[in-house]
Amino acid sequence: MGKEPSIGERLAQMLDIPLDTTLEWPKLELTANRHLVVENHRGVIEYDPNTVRINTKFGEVKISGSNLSLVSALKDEIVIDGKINQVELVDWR
Amino acid sequence: MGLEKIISYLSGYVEILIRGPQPEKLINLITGSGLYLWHVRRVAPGIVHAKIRVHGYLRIRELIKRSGCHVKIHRKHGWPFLRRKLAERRMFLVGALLFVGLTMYLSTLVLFVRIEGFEGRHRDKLLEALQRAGLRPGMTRQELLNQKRRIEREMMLVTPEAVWLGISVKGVVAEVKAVPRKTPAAAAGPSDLVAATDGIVTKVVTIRGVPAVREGDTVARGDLLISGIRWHQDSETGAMVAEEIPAGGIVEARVWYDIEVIEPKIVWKPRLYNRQWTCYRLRWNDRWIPLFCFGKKPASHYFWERYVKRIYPGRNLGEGVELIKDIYRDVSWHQVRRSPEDVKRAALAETALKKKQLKNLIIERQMEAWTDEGLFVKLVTTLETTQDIAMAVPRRKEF
Repeated sequence: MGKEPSIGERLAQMLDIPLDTTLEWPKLELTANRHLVVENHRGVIEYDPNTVRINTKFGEVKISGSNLSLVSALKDEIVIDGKINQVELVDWR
Repeated sequence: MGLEKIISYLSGYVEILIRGPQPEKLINLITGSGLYLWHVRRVAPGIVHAKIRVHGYLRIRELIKRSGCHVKIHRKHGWPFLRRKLAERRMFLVGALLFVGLTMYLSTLVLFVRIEGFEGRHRDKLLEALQRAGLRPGMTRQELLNQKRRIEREMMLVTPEAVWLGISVKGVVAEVKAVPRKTPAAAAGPSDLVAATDGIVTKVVTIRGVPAVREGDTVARGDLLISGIRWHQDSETGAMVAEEIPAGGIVEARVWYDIEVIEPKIVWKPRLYNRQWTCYRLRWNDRWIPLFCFGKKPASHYFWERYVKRIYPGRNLGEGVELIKDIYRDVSWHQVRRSPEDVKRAALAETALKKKQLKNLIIERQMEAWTDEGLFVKLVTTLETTQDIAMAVPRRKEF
């Protein structure tokens, strides 16, 4: 049995409001294997040219690849460039 | 992204090197406090390179202490730093401003006068006349545009060798285009009218001088038509005295032109093959710089095509860099016997082409004579026309 959706989630679904804006759900936008935008993150756990680990409300996003760099880092958005081989959701609830 | 770069440049930004066991902690603290970090990359183990705006860098000192990292400024960029540097180098700034100002001022002037259409003596004469009329290097473009019509009118008056003259301004170059007169200007001194070509005279109208031919006469090229002489009686002695004048009049004659065309019955024709050799080269004046070639060089017979492209010719008419592409295609030649219709068609086409070169000619009659000369066919086309054959030449004393 999956977890029951919260009131806020149900209300947002009923009113057709995007969940990432109302409930600050993380949003990942991948362009080919070169460019990844992570919105609503909760900080960088680890960064090196082959691995980037980013914390979110639901768990960790692990990005593996080569020549990875943080093109821009803002409070709620991180843009990663480089050759992305794998995007892994680690311990998501 | 472009706007972000502009804002960063205007507000100033620094490249920083973050050293420490956990640079990610500092990145999180910086982004968490609402500051903007970009181009974050790990340059060595334990060293992260990033860019941050100047006002952001001033606010992260407390965060640096909390993260336990060391931060060092690697480079400074942006307008505030450039302004400070310029303030220290005032003479450089003055020089740069003077350079920009001078360039802007010089672009408002006419620096070159280029003449098209006239060469040699006529060109020098026209250049002098243009200078007298006010068109010279150093005048402003606006001044030239204001006086353009006047200069053009004056030039037309003082340059009888030109049938048309126009001035245009292109950047800092004043282009004077002149169309030279094909027929010489009317002779000012005593002159005769002579036949410009052979023919049978059909009409003589004398305006000045004494006619030397009548209707029906056959004249050859150079024969005198109207003599530039006027007889009058001397009031004192009563003797007839000859006065030399410029002859004037119209002498129309029936004139024939022959167009001769020889067409071969057997011709060599090339057969092109796909195998080709292409070469690219640069040419600058007499210097040839080979770039690259590909394909296979033809062994013996080849068909050669050349394409030339001038690279930014600017105002350098004679010089400049040219990109040259040469294509050599394998070819074999073989003889082809043309059908009589083909030979006839080719001869007529060439005749038509040559006829086009006889401009302003009203053809009254046309005759064709075909001759078979073994391997060739000869076509002689005779065109009959009536035209003014009078041509003014300086007066000859022996008449």
